[in-house]
Amino acid sequence: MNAFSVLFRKLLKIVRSPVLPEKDYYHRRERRASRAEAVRPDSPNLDRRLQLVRERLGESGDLVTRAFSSGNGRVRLALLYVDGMADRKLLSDNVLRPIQDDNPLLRHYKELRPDNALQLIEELVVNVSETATAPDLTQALRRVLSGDTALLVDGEKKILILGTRSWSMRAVTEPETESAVRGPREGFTETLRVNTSLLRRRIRHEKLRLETMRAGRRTTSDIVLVYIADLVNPQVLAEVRQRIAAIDTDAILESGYIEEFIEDAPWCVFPQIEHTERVDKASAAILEGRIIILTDNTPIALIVPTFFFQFLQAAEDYYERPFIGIALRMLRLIVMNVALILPAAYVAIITFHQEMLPTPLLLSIAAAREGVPMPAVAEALLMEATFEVLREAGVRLPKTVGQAVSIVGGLVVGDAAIRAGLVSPSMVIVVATTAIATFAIPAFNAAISLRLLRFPLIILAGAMGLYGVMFGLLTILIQLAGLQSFGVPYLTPLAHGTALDAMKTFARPPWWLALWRPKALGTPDRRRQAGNMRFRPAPPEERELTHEETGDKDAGKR
Amino acid sequence: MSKYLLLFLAAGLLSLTGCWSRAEIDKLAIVRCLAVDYLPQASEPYLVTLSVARPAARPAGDGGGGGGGGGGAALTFSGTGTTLDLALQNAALSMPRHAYFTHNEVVLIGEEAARRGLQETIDLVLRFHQLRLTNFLLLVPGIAHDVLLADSRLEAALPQEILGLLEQDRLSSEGDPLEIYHVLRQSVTEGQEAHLAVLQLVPPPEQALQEIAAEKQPAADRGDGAGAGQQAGAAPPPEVLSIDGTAVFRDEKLAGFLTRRETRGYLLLAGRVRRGEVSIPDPLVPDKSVNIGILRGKSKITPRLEAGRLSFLVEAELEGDILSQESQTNLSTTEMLERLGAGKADALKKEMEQTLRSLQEMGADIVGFGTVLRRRNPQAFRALAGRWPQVFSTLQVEIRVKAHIRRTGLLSRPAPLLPQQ
Amino acid sequence: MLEKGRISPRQAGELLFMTIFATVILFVPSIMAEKAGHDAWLAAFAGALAGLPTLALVVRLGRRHPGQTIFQYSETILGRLFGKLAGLAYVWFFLHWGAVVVREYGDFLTAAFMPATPLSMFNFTLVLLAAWAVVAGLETIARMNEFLIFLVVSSLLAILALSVANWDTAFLQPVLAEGFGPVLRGALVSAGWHAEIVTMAVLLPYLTRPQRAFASGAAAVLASGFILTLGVVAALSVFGPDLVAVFKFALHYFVHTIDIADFLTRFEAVVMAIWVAGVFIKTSVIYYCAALGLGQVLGLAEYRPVVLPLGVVMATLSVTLFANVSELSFFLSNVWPAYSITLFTLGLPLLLLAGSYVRGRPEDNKQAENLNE
Repeated sequence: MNAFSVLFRKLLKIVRSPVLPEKDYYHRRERRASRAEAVRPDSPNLDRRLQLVRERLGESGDLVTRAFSSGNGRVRLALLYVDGMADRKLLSDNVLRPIQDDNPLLRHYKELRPDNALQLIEELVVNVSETATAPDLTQALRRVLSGDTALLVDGEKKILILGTRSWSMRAVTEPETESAVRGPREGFTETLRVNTSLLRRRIRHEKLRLETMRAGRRTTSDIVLVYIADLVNPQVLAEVRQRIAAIDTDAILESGYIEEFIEDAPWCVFPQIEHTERVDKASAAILEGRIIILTDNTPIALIVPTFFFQFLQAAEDYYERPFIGIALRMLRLIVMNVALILPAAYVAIITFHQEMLPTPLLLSIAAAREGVPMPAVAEALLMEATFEVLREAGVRLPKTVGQAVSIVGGLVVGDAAIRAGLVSPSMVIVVATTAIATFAIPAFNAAISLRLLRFPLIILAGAMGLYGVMFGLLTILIQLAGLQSFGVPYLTPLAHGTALDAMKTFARPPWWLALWRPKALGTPDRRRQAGNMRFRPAPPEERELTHEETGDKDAGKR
Repeated sequence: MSKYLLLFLAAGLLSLTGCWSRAEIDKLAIVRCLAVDYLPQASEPYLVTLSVARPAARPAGDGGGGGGGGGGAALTFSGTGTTLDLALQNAALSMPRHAYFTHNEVVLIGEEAARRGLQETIDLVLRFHQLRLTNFLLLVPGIAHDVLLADSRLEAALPQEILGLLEQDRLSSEGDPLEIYHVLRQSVTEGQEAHLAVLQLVPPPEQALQEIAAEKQPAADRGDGAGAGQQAGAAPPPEVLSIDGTAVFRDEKLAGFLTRRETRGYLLLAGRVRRGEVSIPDPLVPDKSVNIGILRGKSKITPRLEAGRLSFLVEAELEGDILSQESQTNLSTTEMLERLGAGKADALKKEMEQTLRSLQEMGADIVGFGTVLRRRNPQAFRALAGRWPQVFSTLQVEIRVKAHIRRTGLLSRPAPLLPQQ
Repeated sequence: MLEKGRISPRQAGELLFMTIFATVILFVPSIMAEKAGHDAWLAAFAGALAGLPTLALVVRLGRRHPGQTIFQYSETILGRLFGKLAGLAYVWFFLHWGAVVVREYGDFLTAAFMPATPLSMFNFTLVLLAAWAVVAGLETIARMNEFLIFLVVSSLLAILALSVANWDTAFLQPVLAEGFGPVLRGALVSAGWHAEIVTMAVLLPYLTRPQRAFASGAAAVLASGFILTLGVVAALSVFGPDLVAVFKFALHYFVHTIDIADFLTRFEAVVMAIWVAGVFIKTSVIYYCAALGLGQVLGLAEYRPVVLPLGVVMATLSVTLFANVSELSFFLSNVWPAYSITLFTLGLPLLLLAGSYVRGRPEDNKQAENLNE
């Protein structure tokens, strides 16, 4: 008995693995990293240093080392930068030229010596806006590999870092995956600095914080947490920091890597962190008290904490009139249910609950199914699978070829299959409706999860009818209800939230009514704006532009 | 992870064991109508006939089952048995597909079966999860099976035709088709007896023509329906379906019939009259008639207990329009409308009294006077409950009818086709 | 502490509502029509009110022993041996109750929807699902319920609204024709169900604001009583008391009679699916109470190890407890109310409260209660 329960407890421990990685893990990693750096050789001697650089970086063609002397010939220096990432014109005009200048009237020509070179050059000589000093070669190399330039001075241990990052980048364009009819056209780009500037431009508040972290042993990717210091819940912020700090992996190439490392339930089908390319959407999230995680080299920003129903909302809801917002949100809720349940419900109804069909429909479906060689479950699974194949085939192909695929797949094969009696027309309608419904969900990652869950639901429907479907839905619900995203229940605001927040799932309030930030986020400052802002028009007689004033003297006589 | 294992296990378990209660839609025989007969002389006296929808895609020619249902989209299958359920099972088993009853909408009960009582039929419907309480329960004088062999005329299949007739009947208030749970709650309620609408095959009205013509020339095939074509020659035109009056039950057993007019009288008494038409003499020209529509009616039944004598007061109130008139009388004056109203009230009151007499003869209180008494005066009813049919037979009922004529159609007075008198 | 989660008073109220309501609406109308005839609707509400004393009892107990469930304070009050015995009795109560609920569920589904499917199939799947929910914890159950309660209540109200065309309210008369006798007999049944509010004795310490326990529990009882009354009125008006009394599942037949324009009809299967969700919550709550109780009585550090064994027992009991439907019906209408009320929902709590007063209140309890008030 005891042994059993111990075993059971152990099993449970494995199942319910702790939400947070152990704190120790982070420190262990830090210690290891610092040990590794401590043994790296370094030398103030310029030649030795350049040799060390060559040893460490190898014969990389894009690494430029440019040794030179100062204008007065007293100091030997070297520039170290990566070609293509540093601004060469800036270097030659604003760094090389002033240092090498041999005009004797210049102060630095007179005073420059090896012992004061670093300080003097930084303060006086170079015309570069961003400078820093690195304590050793390792730190300097890290900056060099990010596009900055290191200025090595012979005999000086410290290294001057010049901010010369400049590389060709993609322009800020409209995000293709989240286009909107109304709203700004700017989307994030691959360049972190551009992205942060895009956010800064929207939120010009002194409390906006951009907190830089790093992850990736080999990529050392920059990760920036963006939040407003007095809106974000400190617990959530600490949690996010800790989880990101605990990432110790080779590479972070996309924010998807981070998402998987920091999400609460890695084994859950549903996405637990929303992502966006839209700057306005990210800004809105920040203003609600959420945290944006920007990752270098990807335009996809993560939003935490995430509620499930965020996936059903689009930026446009807030720009169009509130009624449209209401209609769209209701529509998306329906669409979500259709995308998840429709094929399963159809299978359940035509194999178990035929009574639910109106008699004429029952007769026509029965007639259409005459001669279909497989049971409805198999038919549904086959059609759904076919649809997935078609979609997948279309996604990767160039647009022109992709259309051909969908025409051949959808029209030709579909029509032939019906004519051949392989599938029934009603099933084609159901599958096609479901497919369209799936595409109507704004968030692709949520839609794809629903698509995945459709298959077990169809099987359950084929086995147990609507009872099976309900069984499946309840298992999904247990999952969802048990989930938390950074301490906030995933089903907020429908479960757990206030009534006011819950209503926002179905309707977006007019802006003059949107007084509060979501309560479940635990922001220190919930109030969003002043109350009583609805515009109330003056009585007609006090209106400004009456007929007399616009010169329409005949208005009264008509 | 093990959560998912659990889920998959459960799903697997479900699908392994899941073949119960399932049926592919194209493997079902969709029963639309069910007829119950009792044949006293037969060794297996119960006869159940199922009217099954023929899937639309199949050509009309192939596969005529049991009874051979003519050319419509419905086929009939029959079975006999020593009990109702066995007969039903035999009928179901005579089909190559699984009998499926949830879309059954009409249950017909033959006269003989009804004389034996409704109990068996109703019990079957209630207990069997596929049969629904919203099925119409109708009585067929004679053999119910025969009705299902009739041809549908307008609709594709006979069951639809029957349903259409039931729907149409609301316009005349001369039949009272009830759904099973209405019949049930009526018969279960103390102080009230059940009744069913009567569905039967009657000779078509055109037969009068044929009878006249038959003497002059050989009968012509009027091509009335696909089925009729085969039996051409001198055969009479096929009989048509009709909702014809009401079957009255006493203690669950058939006790007698009400005519169409009496049925309307019953509906007036019960306050459930829907629409209808009544023809009364013109107030000024008594040999011409005026037709007045009944729009809605309600009634109030009040028990009166005076000096130990029980009597009832029925107050009915009706509304209606003028539909047509034969005379040239200008009826659109208030006075005329009032006189017409009085005439209408009088005519309908006669109908009600006639109904009441018939019911009292049968001793079947389908209006529910007993129920009213029980609700108003439970003590008085309890004293009479044991012999309520006898009490009902001799019950004094005063009937007061008030009829209002509200509108005169689109005419104010008749078009002057004749010069003014 | 075996349960770290906390639920808000609103969530607790909703949980309790569902715990009472999920099966009451299916079985109780016909039982009450049998016992109280025309006056079943009066009996429904009167019986619901009878849930309030039980609630008051357990809330009082909970306030005197803050932070403790009934399994824990029974030990404080009755001493170690008898306390544990009382605790075990309650574990049995929840287990038994759970088994009965699961059986009701399985019987309904097999009778009305899938006659060819064995009962154990439904029972075991339900218990499996509930076991998972119980392992997921109280907060998860509460959140699921917030989601499902909306579905269950709105679908029920929709059904009632759609059926109004079939109503004949004359069936509600005569009022009190037979005096108060039948009403009281019917009310006992409703009371038996609404006394299930005793579950509050387990949930109370996990409320974020325990001082709101009575309000939320009372809201649950009254809401359930109100909707039950509405349901009984509707069932009586459509079928009449004599017919409702013979139906096994009045609600099911009730849905049968709805037919809006030949289109909105025959949707019992949907109602069934939604009701399945309701019973799932009910079973989860009861199951959770049993598991938590056993964990607390046995002094385990974690209640989750006992979940699966309890589930196996509950599912097995649910199949073997009754030989057939008639036994279940008899048990539900004649045994269960008396049994649960005299022993568990009124008897033992009363005893405990008396004991608690005899023992006097410990000093720290007094402070805690003052804080609460």
